[in-house]
Amino acid sequence: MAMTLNDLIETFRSALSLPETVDVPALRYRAVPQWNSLGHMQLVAALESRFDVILETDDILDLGSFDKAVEILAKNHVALEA
Amino acid sequence: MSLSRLDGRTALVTGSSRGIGRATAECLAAHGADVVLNGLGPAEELDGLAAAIARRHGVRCIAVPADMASPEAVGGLLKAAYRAMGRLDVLVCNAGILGDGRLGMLPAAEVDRVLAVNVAGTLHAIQTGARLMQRGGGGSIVTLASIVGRRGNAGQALYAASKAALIGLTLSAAKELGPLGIRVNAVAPGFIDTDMTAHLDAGLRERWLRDIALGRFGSAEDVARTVLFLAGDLSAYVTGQVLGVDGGMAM
Ligand SMILES: NC(=O)c1ccc[n+]([C@@H]2O[C@H](COP(=O)([O-])OP(=O)(O)OC[C@H]3O[C@@H](n4cnc5c(N)ncnc54)[C@H](OP(=O)(O)O)[C@@H]3O)[C@@H](O)[C@H]2O)c1
Repeated sequence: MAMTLNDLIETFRSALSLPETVDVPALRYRAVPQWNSLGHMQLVAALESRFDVILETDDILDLGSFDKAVEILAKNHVALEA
Repeated sequence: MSLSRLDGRTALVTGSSRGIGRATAECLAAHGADVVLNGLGPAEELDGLAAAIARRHGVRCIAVPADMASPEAVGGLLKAAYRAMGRLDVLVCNAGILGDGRLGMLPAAEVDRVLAVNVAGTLHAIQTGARLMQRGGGGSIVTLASIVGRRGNAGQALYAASKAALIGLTLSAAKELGPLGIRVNAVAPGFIDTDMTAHLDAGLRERWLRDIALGRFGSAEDVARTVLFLAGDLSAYVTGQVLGVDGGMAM
């Protein structure tokens, strides 16, 4: 089944327990208290599980924004439809 | 079902072509676990062993050769294991090498290699392995430390340093991963009869034997059964422990 940008937004929202008011596509690491180092590992686990990928450590360190997540997923052959 | 059974779970045992790792793979499979074997290769030999274990115990068993000294290879190993088995519940970080030599006689390349295999390889495996276990709701990680990592031994500063490092890694990982349902423990074998100890001369063996309360060297199976205990539900409330398997060895 094709994955969409909305799936990614939902994954961010549930992994980091973000309220509806947070603009997820504009999100950057540490911009909200939930996206700290602990939340980061929860986010990585959620992304890996949702999109069936296993990320490299360098990518995990690079994953500093929503846009970067899109880029890293693309690198792992997950193309997200709008 | 008996608490010692591991049916439906997948275990990855690094360095399981011989010795303690092989006995552990066999023991986990005998208790129902699907098992991923690893070693440096050659692939055909590991494949043969995997087929034999699968046949003997009626479980799935595959082999993925990889050099634990290479972070990329460790990543590849974990990915291949997960992709093939669909889950990861038990990770036994067993691959290890000896680096005997007195202080002043340890070449830099040897220091790098021992630390890369024993410490960095284990750390990388745990980093990725823990995330894969998280997907299944938790799991158990067992590292292979050593009595010399706790007590030290003349002529084994490098090896002992690597094993002491593993203990720090194990204790920290237990704290960090506990909230995710992942238990992390170490076993610290004493003198176990494997290829690793086979090169020691008779006089030295005799001397070691005198220091072992139970009056015999350990077998790979002695260690494997302890790993089995730590891998499964018998030890459900045990984490952050270093369990000696040394027959009461004085060092
Ligand atoms: N024997 C003892 O008395 C004793 C005591 C305390 C702790 N330990 C620890 O227990 C563990 C197992 O020891 P053992 O006695 O069973 O040793 P062993 O008989 O020498 O077997 C070592 C295993 O590790 C694998 N290995 C070595 N380097 C590797 C690498 N770079 N990448 C992947 N696999 C690698 C070997 O694979 P290949 O066949 O491909 O080389 C082999 O399967 C080690 O961590 C050791 O330090 C042993």
